[in-house]
Amino acid sequence: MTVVCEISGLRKEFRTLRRGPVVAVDGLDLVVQRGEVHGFLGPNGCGKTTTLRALLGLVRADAGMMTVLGQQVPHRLPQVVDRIGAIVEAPNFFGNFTGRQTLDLLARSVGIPRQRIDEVLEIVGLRDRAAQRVKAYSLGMRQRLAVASALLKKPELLILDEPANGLDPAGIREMRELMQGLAANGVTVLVSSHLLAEVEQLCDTVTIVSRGRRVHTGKVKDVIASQSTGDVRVLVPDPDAAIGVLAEAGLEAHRVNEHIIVPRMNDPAFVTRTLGGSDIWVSELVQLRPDLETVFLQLTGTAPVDGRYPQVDDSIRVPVPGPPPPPYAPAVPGQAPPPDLSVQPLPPAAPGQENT
Amino acid sequence: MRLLLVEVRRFFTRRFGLVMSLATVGVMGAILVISMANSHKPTDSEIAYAEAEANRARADAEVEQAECLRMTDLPREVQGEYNYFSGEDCDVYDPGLVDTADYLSGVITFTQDAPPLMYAFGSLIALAGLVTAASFIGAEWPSGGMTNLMLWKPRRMEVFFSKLAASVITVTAGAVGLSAIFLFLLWVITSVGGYVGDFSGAWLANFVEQCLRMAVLPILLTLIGFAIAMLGRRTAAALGALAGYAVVFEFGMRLLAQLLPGLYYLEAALLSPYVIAWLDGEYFIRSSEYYYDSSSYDDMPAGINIDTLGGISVLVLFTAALVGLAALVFKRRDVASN
Repeated sequence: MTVVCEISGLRKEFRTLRRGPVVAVDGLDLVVQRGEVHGFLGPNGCGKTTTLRALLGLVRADAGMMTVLGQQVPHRLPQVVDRIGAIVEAPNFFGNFTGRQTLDLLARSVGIPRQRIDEVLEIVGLRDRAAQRVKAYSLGMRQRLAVASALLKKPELLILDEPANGLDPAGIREMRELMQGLAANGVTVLVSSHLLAEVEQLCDTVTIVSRGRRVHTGKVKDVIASQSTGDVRVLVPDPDAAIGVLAEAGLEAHRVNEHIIVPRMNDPAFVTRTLGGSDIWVSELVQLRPDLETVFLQLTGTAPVDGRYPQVDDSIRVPVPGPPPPPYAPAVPGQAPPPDLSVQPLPPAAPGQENT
Repeated sequence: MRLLLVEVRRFFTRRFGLVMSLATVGVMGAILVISMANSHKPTDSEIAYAEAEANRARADAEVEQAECLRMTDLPREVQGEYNYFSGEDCDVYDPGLVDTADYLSGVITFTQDAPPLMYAFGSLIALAGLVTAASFIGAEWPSGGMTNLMLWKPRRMEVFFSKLAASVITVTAGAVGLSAIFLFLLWVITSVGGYVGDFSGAWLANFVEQCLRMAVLPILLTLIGFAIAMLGRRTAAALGALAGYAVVFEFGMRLLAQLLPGLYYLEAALLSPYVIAWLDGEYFIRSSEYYYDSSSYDDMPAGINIDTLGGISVLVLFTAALVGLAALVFKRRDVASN
């Protein structure tokens, strides 16, 4: 596959008078292949928007290499910008212009025919509100207008920062279908979002970042699978007896309410066979599989902890790749060390998180 | 070019520009109404008297101009007599500058009143240009319009200079249009309820020169307003800078220079002396001391003389430096938030 967007070792530090230097992006890597919908995920303040802004020439990177559609950016961004549609962060527009005027001014600046304005207004559902001033738009309508502006150019690469922000459920669904449709027509979509259920449905691949560094990347199903422990949840009439039978067979198991959990079980049939051999009949067997949200919280270290209010900078910091790896330093004193990203066991899944 | 046209269109589409134009028209109307209210249509006898006085003054000016032309190239002292015309510009004695309207009282006249009113109106337009240009940029930053545009046009200097040119073009066009309307209305009013005056070639030349000099101010203030708003990313930054400059420099520093005569040169750090020098042809910052001028055999006040060229040079350099700084900052600025 062709790489449409590649970021390597991106670093950006902001200097503020009050807080001193703040590292927003710290050696980030990202690869997006042509025609895929790539989710760009991370906790608040992890550097997602800064990365997208750097990619689009809005902020100057301190280090790293970025290419978009085969051109190094930001230096050669003008050569490819007509093939990129983008919205970054909050969808702000000049309030006294109408939606149509807003799009018209953008279209005129690059010579896009006016007919295309009608097309994108139709696509994002603003056809009948186009003559209304933007200040009268709801957040969701502004978001739609932002998407419309990104679509004006018929882009090959669509970069969307929180495109579903403020949208109603129907709008979220429309947005998902729109992106899926675009991807089906060969448009590459790089989307940053916190709606992980949406991302799981929409994206082919994801990159998860924490504190300016990549934590994990790959196909969505692979990322989820990498965090799957193989735990099996079993429902039997007598759980305690079943635990005993499994222990005799050399399997570790523990009880959770009326279920028993058999950790790291690669062969679920062995469980049914063992229990059946002792006349304990299994009425339910589920191989636990985390969803993207669970994986995200696990990978970024942002899962809620009882009795503690996690702060925005409390997510995990992954070591800089390359020898020798620096020792891990917890971000907050007392915080648990980071999980082993390759084979980290998950906690027992909450009801509704399992997949059979 | 395409972006420039879009920016001009954006400038005209914005409501603030329309509001400022209407406000300027309102003030313009008020000036004209007040002028008309304090005027009357001169009677035939008033005009006859004024014309007789003007003819007498023209005859005197003709004699004086001839004397001036004869003496201007001679030294200060001729046969023991002081030569007042030595080195003098004899155009000031041009009989064509004598206007019948000079001898009418309580009458608004075009030739008499248009020049000072144009100063007032031009200053108003210049301030309107500063605020409008500042708002054009200041509203773009927080509304996200600038960020959106940069997503489409990553060449920042193209964006900067398109917006700059759009501001200057529209403000200049507005200034020229409003000035033309103002002068036309003044001509109508003086024709109906006052006296038009004598349109001599000399008057016309002086008036056109004044208008051209005045036209520079809206352009410079537009550039200054644009640059400060670009630096501060808010309209309020330009307005605050304007208010701060007026209080700290034009009021505070001028007061200091007047209270402490030894610090008279502080006035040279203000912009107003250079504006006056540009408009009037000269401005003199006086110290409390005098020196003996051997050519005029007289004590002359010491100080700093600013001529037309000095005035416009400082104004242009100041504006260019500010615009250059704004361009540099815009080119390198991280747009990390709107």
